[in-house]
Amino acid sequence: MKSLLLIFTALSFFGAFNRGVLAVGTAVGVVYLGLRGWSMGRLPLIGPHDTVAFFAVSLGVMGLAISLSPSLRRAGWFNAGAGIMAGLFGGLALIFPARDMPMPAILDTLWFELHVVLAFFAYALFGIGALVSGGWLATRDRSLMDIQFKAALAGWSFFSASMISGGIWGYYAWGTYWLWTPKELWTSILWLFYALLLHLRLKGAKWEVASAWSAIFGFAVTLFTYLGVSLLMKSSHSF
Amino acid sequence: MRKLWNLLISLEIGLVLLALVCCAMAAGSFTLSGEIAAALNGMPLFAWLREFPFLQTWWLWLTIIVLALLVLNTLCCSTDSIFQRFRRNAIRAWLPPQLIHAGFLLIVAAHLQSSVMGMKGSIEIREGDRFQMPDGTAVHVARIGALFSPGGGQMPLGYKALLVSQQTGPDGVTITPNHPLFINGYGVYIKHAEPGEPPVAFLEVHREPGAGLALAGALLFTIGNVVLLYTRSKSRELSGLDS
Repeated sequence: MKSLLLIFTALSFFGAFNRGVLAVGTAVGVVYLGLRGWSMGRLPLIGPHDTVAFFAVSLGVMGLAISLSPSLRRAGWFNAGAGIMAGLFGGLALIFPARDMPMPAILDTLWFELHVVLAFFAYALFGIGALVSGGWLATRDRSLMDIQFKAALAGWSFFSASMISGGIWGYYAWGTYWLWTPKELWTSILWLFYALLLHLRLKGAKWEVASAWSAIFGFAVTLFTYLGVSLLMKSSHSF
Repeated sequence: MRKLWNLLISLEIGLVLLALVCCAMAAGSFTLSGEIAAALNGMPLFAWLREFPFLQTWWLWLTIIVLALLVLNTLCCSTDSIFQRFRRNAIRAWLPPQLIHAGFLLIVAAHLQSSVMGMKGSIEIREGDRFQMPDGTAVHVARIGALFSPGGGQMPLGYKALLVSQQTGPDGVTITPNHPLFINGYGVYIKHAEPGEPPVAFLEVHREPGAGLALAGALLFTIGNVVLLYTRSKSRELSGLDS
């Protein structure tokens, strides 16, 4: 089954300058996640292999959706960028062993699944927003800033919903909707940072450069929140 | 007076405060470890702040102070925006960001309420014994057992306990991970159990008085967010958030 993830990674990484190839690669990734979930009887959302693979496929899905914007329909650089990002994380997922353990009782709830799925959709949109910001810095095409704003707003909305579902899950699982751990702190930092980014837009066109660099920095914060904290710091969300 | 109001509704101040909270929390994430971190989750926030030295708690003091200023900034901005937009009768543009702001404020208020009035206690109890809830309700632990996956496995997925009290009725309530028992605002959670004669369960009793307010804030926030997403998906111009 892992060969499907390999095909997704290769198609995304090497062929995504063409939207059709990106679409095929993403479809293969979705099939991989579907088959893996089917074989385990649950969504593949536990451990570094499954979560990184889910993140990679989310990047493909969000990249594909946003590539349909009128300003990006003919932007090969965008498809290639989204594909390379998806491919890189697909490759990273391949490094980690796939664990087929049953779902621990504490995670066996719809709130947990919703929490994780929404978080990865948000992370993917933040990644795509950073890519579009890079494109804007290179081309200064103003329509790209509009796309960046919408990607950040949609990502922030997914992320907020993820935090809310995580809070509800936490309340039923641990008796509190909030724990003071590095993961919760970085989750709040990420949420506040994107709130800042969205408010930057009110400053008008003069602040677009700051907004674009903030979106790129925001994706770095996203990656640290997801991978850095989970791998390097002791937290309720450690792998 | 006008000068002070302009300062309070300043977007620049709001942006600086947001950046400052991020920095304070980031510093805290690297400071938080060991016993101090465990204690922070085991007692109400202000009790923790009083108990531990400032050198280890400074980041949380800073977070709280900056958050308080951010709350003030949000309140003033929202008030100003409501006043301006009402005059222009532009409720569609005005409403969604204000719902988001209101949700944020309620969530902060919920945290404050839980920080002051919340409690957490742990109980180690054997099958057949009774314990008393903080409100005086007596609870009898009738049975303790392990939860296995439907396919049957070597390792239990979690633990369950059958609790009987006046409130739960004669048949009682089985608590499992994610399915606590709530009695008069207190929640009883099962953390772990050990087999034996008799089996022993490790329970936690929590009181999170801000939970309802946090949920109300989350609902307001979500409604505002969905409406904002809908209105922004319709607009293509670079018009900003209209806060």
